[in-house]
Amino acid sequence: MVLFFSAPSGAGKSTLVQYLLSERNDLEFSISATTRAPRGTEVHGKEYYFLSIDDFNNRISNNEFVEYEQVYKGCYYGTLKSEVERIEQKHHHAVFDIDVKGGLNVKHIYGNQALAIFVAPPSIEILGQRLKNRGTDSEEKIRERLAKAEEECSYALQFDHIIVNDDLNAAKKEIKELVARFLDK
Amino acid sequence: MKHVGIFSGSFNPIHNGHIALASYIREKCGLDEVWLSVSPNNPLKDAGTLLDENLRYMLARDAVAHIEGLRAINFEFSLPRPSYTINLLRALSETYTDTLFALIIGSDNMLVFDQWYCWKEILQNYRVIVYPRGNDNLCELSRKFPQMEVLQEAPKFDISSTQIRKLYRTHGDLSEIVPNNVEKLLANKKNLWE
Repeated sequence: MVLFFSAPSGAGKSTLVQYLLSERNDLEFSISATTRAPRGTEVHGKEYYFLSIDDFNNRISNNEFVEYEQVYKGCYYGTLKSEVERIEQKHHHAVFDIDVKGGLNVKHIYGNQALAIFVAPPSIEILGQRLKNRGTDSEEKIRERLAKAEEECSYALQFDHIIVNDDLNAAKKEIKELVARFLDK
Repeated sequence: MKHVGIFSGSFNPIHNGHIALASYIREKCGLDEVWLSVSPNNPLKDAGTLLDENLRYMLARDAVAHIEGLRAINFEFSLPRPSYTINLLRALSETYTDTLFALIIGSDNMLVFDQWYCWKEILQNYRVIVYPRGNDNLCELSRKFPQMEVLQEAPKFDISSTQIRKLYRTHGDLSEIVPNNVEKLLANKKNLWE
């Protein structure tokens, strides 16, 4: 079984995924590969595998990805097959944190072996505020992200479940119950 | 005190009729705000046509985000089921102590209002605003519930979820009857409601 979480940037998905990982010992985070630069204290091999565009392209040619997506121009994210194998060998369930469209690809691959959860952000205003507070993006980048967030919300129906992250504690409770219903059935 | 009208419904999905009606009532009745209270799913009762409650809430919330005086709430999701209106009103009054709540209902509900759970308490403690639906005889109903404010002149915003589903199935144009976010969502999903 695999779990995957998709959300517009700033929806609080990482916080929810971290919470879930801390609550259950049968889950393991599937580290995505990306060509974007590390933010803040991010470390290669922990939050992401940070690859150069050339390296990423080579791996696409070698068919090393389960899925990949160009999220912004020149900015790729993807899931390496080697990463999923690493987790399966330990008999853990892989937890994917992927782009909305990447999420749809994975759902097509895994079918009902996957639980697909869409984390909806609080209102666009609050999302904008959060991105500003995070302080890692320029104003133009924030506008770009907000437009993308609206676009991404229009894919919410493709997921098995939607969690609206208006209230973090409620969202945590809901996510824990959802995952338990799926994995412990 | 702040005056807020509670417009409860399934909003499956929210459409321009809901929004126009909520805005009309807000202005006509001198309310500071109208809150669209999205009702939860009932696993025992729901037919296949009811969308997920979180999705219905997200759509309603985003659709009214830029409209003055309107907001969507999912307050009912955390209340005990079955979800009775009086429980919603009591819980809201306890939570928002600086607010006076009014209940907004359609005339179809006025017709059966005396079958509602604790309907007398609702009438005693809350302002009840009625908007016309269908061809209900509002004069007769008004005599039965003189405390209710019936908006005789309110325009009828005749859009129904059934109509939306039908247009969706026949790939009709939804742009005039649903907000932009709902239109996009439906455009991105095939084979819904089939």
